[in-house]
Amino acid sequence: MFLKSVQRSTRGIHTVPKLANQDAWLKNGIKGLYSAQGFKESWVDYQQYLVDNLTMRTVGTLNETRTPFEIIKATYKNASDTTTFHYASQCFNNHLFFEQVADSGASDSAPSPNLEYIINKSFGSLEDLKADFEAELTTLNGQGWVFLVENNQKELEIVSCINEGTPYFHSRNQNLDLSSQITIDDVTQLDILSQFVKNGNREPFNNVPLICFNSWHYAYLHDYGVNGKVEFLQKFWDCLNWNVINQRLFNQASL
Amino acid sequence: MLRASCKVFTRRQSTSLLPQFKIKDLEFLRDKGITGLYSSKGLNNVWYDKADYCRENLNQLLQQSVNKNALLSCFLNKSLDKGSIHLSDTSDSIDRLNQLISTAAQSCEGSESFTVDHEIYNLSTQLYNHHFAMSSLNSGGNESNRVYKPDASELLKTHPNTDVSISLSHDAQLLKQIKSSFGSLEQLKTLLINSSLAIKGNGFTWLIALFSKSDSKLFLDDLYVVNSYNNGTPSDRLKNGQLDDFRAFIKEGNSNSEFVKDYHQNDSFDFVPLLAINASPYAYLSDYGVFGKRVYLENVWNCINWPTVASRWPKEA
Repeated sequence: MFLKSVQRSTRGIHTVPKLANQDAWLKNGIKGLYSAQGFKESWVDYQQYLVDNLTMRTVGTLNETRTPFEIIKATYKNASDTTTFHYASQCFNNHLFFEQVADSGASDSAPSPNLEYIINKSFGSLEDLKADFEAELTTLNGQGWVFLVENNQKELEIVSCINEGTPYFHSRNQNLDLSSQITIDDVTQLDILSQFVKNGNREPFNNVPLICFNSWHYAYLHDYGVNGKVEFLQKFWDCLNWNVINQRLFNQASL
Repeated sequence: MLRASCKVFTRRQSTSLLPQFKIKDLEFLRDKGITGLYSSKGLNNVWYDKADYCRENLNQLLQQSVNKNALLSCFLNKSLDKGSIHLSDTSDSIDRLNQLISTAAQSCEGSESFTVDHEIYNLSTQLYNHHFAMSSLNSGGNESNRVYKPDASELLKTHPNTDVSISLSHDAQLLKQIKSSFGSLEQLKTLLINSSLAIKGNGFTWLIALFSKSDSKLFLDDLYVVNSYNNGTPSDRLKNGQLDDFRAFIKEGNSNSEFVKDYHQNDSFDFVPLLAINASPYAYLSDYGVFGKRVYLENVWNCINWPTVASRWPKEA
């Protein structure tokens, strides 16, 4: 009996991770990206909202002791787990977003030669990547995320996810918006996807996210207004900490 | 990459094809907000800035569409001189937007300017949905509401749902129908608020009436609460059967180039939206904060303009 209660006391309550510069950012905001209040709303408050909801959704279930990423893996396939998946995926994506930003001009970081090479190979240049990224963001309907990912062919591509979509699994990218008028292209993609899911294959990780852009109003409404997502993206490029992005690229040499 | 090639331009255009989308009662509130619901900033986020943005982009795109004339004809007032545009009355502008949505939906199929028309469809449904939700509100607001940003403890609170009343006379048709469809006003309120809370991204919660049609008369089926997401509309009429038609088209090996199905022509029923509530994050974030959606929805309920909602009941019914 005693043992059991000890086990219980170790259950996972999800908490907001502390960012390296959090205290300074709460005071001054992120230079070039956020006011102090804007930062508080999009990270401290929103992340608190997400982890509290995630804790409430998972307590007493198999997901109780799992990390948000493990919860994503455990729930992405089941329609009945949609709400839990929402909070887990949002937790994960929002953390991914805030991990990679820095005060503008604070770090003179740049893409590593390895990353630069692969960006040039896939897009032509960094500027081309930025232009494609912006086009993808402009056509994204409603709330969501835009990712630069490395796919399983070791190529870079841009993936946009509507609402809480995750970049890791094709079947949960959520980049088809069937609530609007649909196109033949959409139907083709949908059928490929449903065939894949029907076959019951264990889906491998298709993509590893390198750059994560938050296009939810939680992230930019306070400082950029309701139509401000493109302006937010343009500021975002100057506040990107490339040292973090370089680390995210799979590096064979480090094996 | 068809999707990426359709860029929305935000540059201002000197000549405008579209009328201003104004809601008469809301016009003077830009600097004031709605008492007990929105500050001036909050109202700008959810209506003025949003509507201006949609309108400017629509203007740009209408210029580019090959179906420009068909689309613009939705805004020409046939009873007045050709070319003049009249859009002051709320129900009138909603009807015209509705017409624009149907026209854009039809021109989406097989059009040379597909990506443009698709974006026109998206923007016009956004305008329609916002217009509908904002004109469902009482511009006078509600003095007894409190607008504030709750903290994380809000997530654990319950809101007692008792003593709900609305400004409709007891014998009003709508009130009777609400009671027979949902049981009571309390149950309708609970259903509306819970449906709104379930929307995580952008979306609207609607109260709709479903009518069956025969001999140009309408017979009420029932009232329903439905959610629409992103650029969706409360009625799925425009999309009904689309998926199957496209699948059939793909199966036939794209040989049938005259692919236009008349799935819009199912006339045996009619969806009539009565009320819309904006459940998107930007509708409450600036006034109620991250934890405040529930408080916002309670305040919205107290600001619904029920006489307007009741006036949307079709006369043929």
